[in-house]
Amino acid sequence: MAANDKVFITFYDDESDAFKYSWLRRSTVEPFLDRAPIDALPSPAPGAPITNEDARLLGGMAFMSLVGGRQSLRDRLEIV
Amino acid sequence: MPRELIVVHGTTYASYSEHEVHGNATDSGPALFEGASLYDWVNDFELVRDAETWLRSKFSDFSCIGRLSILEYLRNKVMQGEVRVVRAEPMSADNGFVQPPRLAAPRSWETKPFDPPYTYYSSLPVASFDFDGWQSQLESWTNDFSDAVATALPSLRGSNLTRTQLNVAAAIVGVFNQGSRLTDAVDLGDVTAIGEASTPLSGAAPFEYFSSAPSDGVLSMAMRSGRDAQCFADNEQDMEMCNVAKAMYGGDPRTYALCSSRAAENYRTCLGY
Repeated sequence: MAANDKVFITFYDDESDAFKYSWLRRSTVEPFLDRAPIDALPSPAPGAPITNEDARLLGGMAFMSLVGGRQSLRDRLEIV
Repeated sequence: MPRELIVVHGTTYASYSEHEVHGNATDSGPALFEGASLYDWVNDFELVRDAETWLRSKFSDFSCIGRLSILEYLRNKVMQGEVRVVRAEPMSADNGFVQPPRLAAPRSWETKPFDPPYTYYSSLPVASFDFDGWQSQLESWTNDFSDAVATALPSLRGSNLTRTQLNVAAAIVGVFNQGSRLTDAVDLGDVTAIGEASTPLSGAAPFEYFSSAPSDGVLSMAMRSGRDAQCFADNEQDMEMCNVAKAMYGGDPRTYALCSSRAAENYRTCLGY
């Protein structure tokens, strides 16, 4: 891993009703990543161009994960 | 000339050679020999002696030596139809039907050589089971447990527990709340799910204590089930994430398979398997 590798994290903040994001140095979260189950995204394929569709899939998964069991957010989901 | 040959279960049978006239009595020989073990009959010296005497008088080629071979010779003759065996007593009661004896125990078995002074059962100490005591003990345990859960519920409601977890907890209280005596110990006024509660928290004490309850067994059970519930909730969330991935990357079934199998693995690990 490169010294300045970043990890992108995003979460939902109840109080401000906003989705928030941040970058952390990978070395900071490495101990947690070591214990976390990690899978490779099915797309894009290695070496393949990164397309709008790839962005849609990753973004959709992120939003749906953050929505989780919150009914108010579920009602707002319009991802297809 | 019929002759008493076999006495089984107190019933006397007479044997006839093939051409002897013996009335219309049913031939019970095959049934008799099918249901009997010759190894049992061998120990009946009187039976073997009578059989040997009779066979010697009827069959010129009879030259068997040894009790078992004598009985086998007789059995062969019976099966071949050369010897018929019928009940010697009048058969008014069973109308001629012969019940084949299934077990031919030698008469030497019918009397015990001695009467034991005691049996194993009688030598055991008499200890009547205190059912009422056990019942009340059990009831106090369940009271304590349901009390603890009911006390815990209000503070749980303030936490981030999911609706499912609260419902599980409420169900546990409900199970232990069947009896009238249990009802006194539990206030079920506030076991509705988050957001649907119409009753305030019943003023129950906050849930903070486990170590002073009277039974360690019930405590460990409660702790264990609490951890299991946590494992279950974690697994539910894992699977929900898997479904999220499936929703976006459903075209790649491997993603979901990998995710769900890992969730199952986590669940087993969490439960301690």
